[in-house]
Amino acid sequence: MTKTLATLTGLLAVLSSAWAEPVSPADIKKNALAIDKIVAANFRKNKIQVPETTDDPTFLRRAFLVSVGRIPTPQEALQFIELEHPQKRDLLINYLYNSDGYKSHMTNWMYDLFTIREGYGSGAGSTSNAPLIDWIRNAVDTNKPWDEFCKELLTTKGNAYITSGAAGYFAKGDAIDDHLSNTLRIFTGVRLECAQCHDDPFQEWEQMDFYQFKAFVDGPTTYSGKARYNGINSKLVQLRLNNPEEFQNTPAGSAQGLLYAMNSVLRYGINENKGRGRVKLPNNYAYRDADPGETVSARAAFGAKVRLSDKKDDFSSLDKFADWMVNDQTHNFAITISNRLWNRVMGISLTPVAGDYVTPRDTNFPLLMGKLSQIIKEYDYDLNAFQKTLMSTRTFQFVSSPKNLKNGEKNALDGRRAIRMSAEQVWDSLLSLASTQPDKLPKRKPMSPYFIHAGQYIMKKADLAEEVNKMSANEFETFFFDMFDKLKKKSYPNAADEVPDYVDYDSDEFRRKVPRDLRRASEMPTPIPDGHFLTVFGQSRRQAAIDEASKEGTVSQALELFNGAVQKNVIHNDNAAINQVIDSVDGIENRIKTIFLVVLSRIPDESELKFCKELVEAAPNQNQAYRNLVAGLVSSQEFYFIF
Amino acid sequence: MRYNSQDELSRRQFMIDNARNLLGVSVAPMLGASLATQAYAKNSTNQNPAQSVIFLNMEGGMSHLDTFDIKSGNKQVNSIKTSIPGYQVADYLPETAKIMKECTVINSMTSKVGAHPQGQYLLHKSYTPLGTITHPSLGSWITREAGRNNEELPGYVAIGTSAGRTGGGWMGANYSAALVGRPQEGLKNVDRFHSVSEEDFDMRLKIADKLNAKFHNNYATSEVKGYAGLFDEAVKVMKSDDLSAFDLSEESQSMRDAYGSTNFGQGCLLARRLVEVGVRFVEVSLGGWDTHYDNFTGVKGRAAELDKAYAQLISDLKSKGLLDSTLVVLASEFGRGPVQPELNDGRSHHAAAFTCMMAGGGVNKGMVYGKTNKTAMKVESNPVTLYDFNSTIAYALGVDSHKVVYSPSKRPFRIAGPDKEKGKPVTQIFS
Repeated sequence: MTKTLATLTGLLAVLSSAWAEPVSPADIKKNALAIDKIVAANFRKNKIQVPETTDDPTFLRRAFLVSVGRIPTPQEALQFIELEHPQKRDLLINYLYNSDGYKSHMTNWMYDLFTIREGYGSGAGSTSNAPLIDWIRNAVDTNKPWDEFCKELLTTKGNAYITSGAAGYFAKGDAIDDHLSNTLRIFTGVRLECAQCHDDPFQEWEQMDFYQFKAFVDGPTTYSGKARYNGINSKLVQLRLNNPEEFQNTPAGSAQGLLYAMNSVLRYGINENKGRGRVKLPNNYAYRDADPGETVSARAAFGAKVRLSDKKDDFSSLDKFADWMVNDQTHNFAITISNRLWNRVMGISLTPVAGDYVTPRDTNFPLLMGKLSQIIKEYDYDLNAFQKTLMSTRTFQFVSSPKNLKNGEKNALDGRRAIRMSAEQVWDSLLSLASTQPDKLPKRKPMSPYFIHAGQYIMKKADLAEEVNKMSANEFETFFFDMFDKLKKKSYPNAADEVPDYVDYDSDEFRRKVPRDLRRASEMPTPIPDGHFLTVFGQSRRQAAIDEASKEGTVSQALELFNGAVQKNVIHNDNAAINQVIDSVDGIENRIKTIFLVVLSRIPDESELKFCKELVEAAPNQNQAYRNLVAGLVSSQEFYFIF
Repeated sequence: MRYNSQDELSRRQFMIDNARNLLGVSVAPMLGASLATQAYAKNSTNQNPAQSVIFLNMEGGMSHLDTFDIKSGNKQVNSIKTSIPGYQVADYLPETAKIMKECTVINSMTSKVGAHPQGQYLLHKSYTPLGTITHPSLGSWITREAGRNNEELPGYVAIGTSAGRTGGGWMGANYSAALVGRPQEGLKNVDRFHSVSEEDFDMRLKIADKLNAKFHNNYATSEVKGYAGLFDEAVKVMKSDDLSAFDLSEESQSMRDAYGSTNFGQGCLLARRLVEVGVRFVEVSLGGWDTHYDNFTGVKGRAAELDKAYAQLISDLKSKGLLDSTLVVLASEFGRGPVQPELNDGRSHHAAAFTCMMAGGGVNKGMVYGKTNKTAMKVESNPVTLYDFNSTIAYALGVDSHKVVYSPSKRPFRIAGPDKEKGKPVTQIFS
């Protein structure tokens, strides 16, 4: 134990930040205090007793799971618990929000929120979302402010390989109506999905509202002209039928395969004519305020006032949509993101459904909601600093409440409720038992900028998009068959020689299969293929629905913990961090205490110690007994709940 | 835990239910049920209940227009005769056409929910999503109310679907579906790790139990309690003699081929095997029906997968004498709307009219229930909501869909959904 402790130097001193830190520690402190004051006033007003503050082990575990998505490593746990420093909790919060773990955990959050998947479609429509994924990962790495994030996603046009991965947002394979509803829900907390098809009987929205929003984003999505592609495709079908040897079974693969691969690059992005400010109502539009098929112009049904002309197209309508979204008069924007993050950090929502917008005065916490949105604006939408502020409050440190909310009863902020970890948190926590540095495990590589086919390096993807963009349909045909011919003759350089560190990261096989080495959930394919540990524990399928991850318990999860991959990777892996630590400690009691500390971040109470000691002493094989202890703790609810 | 054990409260409930049947009157008002309940109570029970449900979930919104509700105006699909006189289906459902005489088609399904997550939620749970509680799935309800016919295997198994849809919600993990990802692989992780002896395993359980007792004491929320009993369930499954029901390799190759080699086909075969050993509720999912773009190619592809598996499932159950005791449900969260040429002949969501089907389990053979108008966009007669639909499934199993069950937080819930929706079983489709 002492040996381990001796090697722990300066972990908490790591305060250098990965990005410029515009929000000062003093501001964070000031705002955390302001939040606590509002919460305290609420207690006084409702005559509720102020909850106690958690002990160090509970705080430690909660803070880690909430900010970096995993439990602490043995070193981190020991160092924090043994540290005597009046501001040790603040030091820990600093450490966490500056770590790579924060980025990993935030990436999962982004993937869920924006339903990010590796690609979509099959055959001719098979398209990779790699540019968008890289853009989002980069935005997390650089802590891109939320308003800029929103604007770039909504307004970036052009081919995503040329301009920016943000141009993939509208191209990522969602039906436009669903995509628009999700966009409004993510950024403004308003649900218009019902109004897609009819007036919403439960809310104030009418189908007209939906279509007026749709007018902002209507227009062709895919970047590259379909006609050009279709022309060559039908020609290929004929050629393939007549000459299978020449076009289907060549050393360069099939010509159609090349066309599909090329198409994935060429079409991915946003057409310049996307967002024309007007839209046609559907043919089955059934309300009296307009006729079916009538053209209506863009108008925002709430927030800042904006209405575009119904006389002519306005191709800056995406910009106007984004400007409206982040406009100060559109209060929803700041309130929705600050509530979402409050829920993420505090584990309890201020509105009945997390992520839904409710006018602050209609909630239990009008002042608090106002303050939160004020803070996030003051921070220029710095998501990292905002979450750090929330964690720095005393409110965050309240002990968890054992009370169930009754129907209609409003939450009183009297402590979070114990909830199961997300699939990603369970996975990443198990990794923290396997690895000494779970934040430094292999990362996902950004996509390759090179267009490689059949092992040959042809050109950069951006150049391919740029060149083809200038071509007529006929020129493209010549270009395409010329390329295919060269591939067959192997005239292009071998990719492995030409491209430094060449791995075909963009191949479907690579993107969609589970890596062999242990990685954080954020570094694996999104979503993970069915049947993986993460799906068993309810990872969102990231299809069309945001907030779809599940925390429901199932028999399959218990079986997974009892007999699944965790046995091989952690419990019975001699090299796992936890087994190394156990080996470095002497004596039964010490070992039991260490195991508790590592798995549950706390020391056993007397009864637990006695119970475990008797079991270990009675076991025929001590070594195996410790493994059993680890396994028992890992499958206990205390391990996979956040409280 | 004993087979079909009833605690004191539910035993009393059972007696009341029986009294109601005998006397032909409802004692429901004492239990806080609605007027609607009383009106319907007199024929609320099925005297010859089915034993199991196989629920085939057509995820994404199956185009009723291009499968089971073909209208003369639909020029893009050819229809063929079925074994129900005068009723036709799309020509890419040739096998299904032959076995239609076993089925009741409900062409008059109608819903107000036209978005996938909410639609699938409603289909599975008879409620719309709320932030304050998670509702249990129909499979959880049926398993809880009808009890389990096999005390070792999970009462509810879901193949190729997500935990969120098939969870036990406030009923807890005990009533959540056991998930099977790939049917060929069966239920995963049912064998002890190779270097773990039975004694090792017991020690692990003892430790976990000790910790859980303390945890439940300290954090007594419903979320936490919902996980109680999960271990017992998992251990029972591990030790069950019927575990081989999950092993498809015990079937002949010709039988496996007959269902089609797809996940859905093999999932249907697995469902049949599970029903044979007394699993109450099996869900098999077939995704990809969300045909916004190029609807006709999409539907044809899905239908090919469905056709072979569905027809084989029905014939197989029949030849094994299991069809009368097994209700086979084919359902989707909604249907689809008019063709949109600008989307390469795609079709968007349409909830006002769509089609679901039932077969076996005592439902009428060769019946077409309900009717849509000439564009199949509106229901003209005998509308069936998803609340009615789920009530009907419950009815087939002899379960009272209006029985109020209280969540741990003392909120009332029913299989029929909220009172205001007036959900009731469609008894007309039973003989």
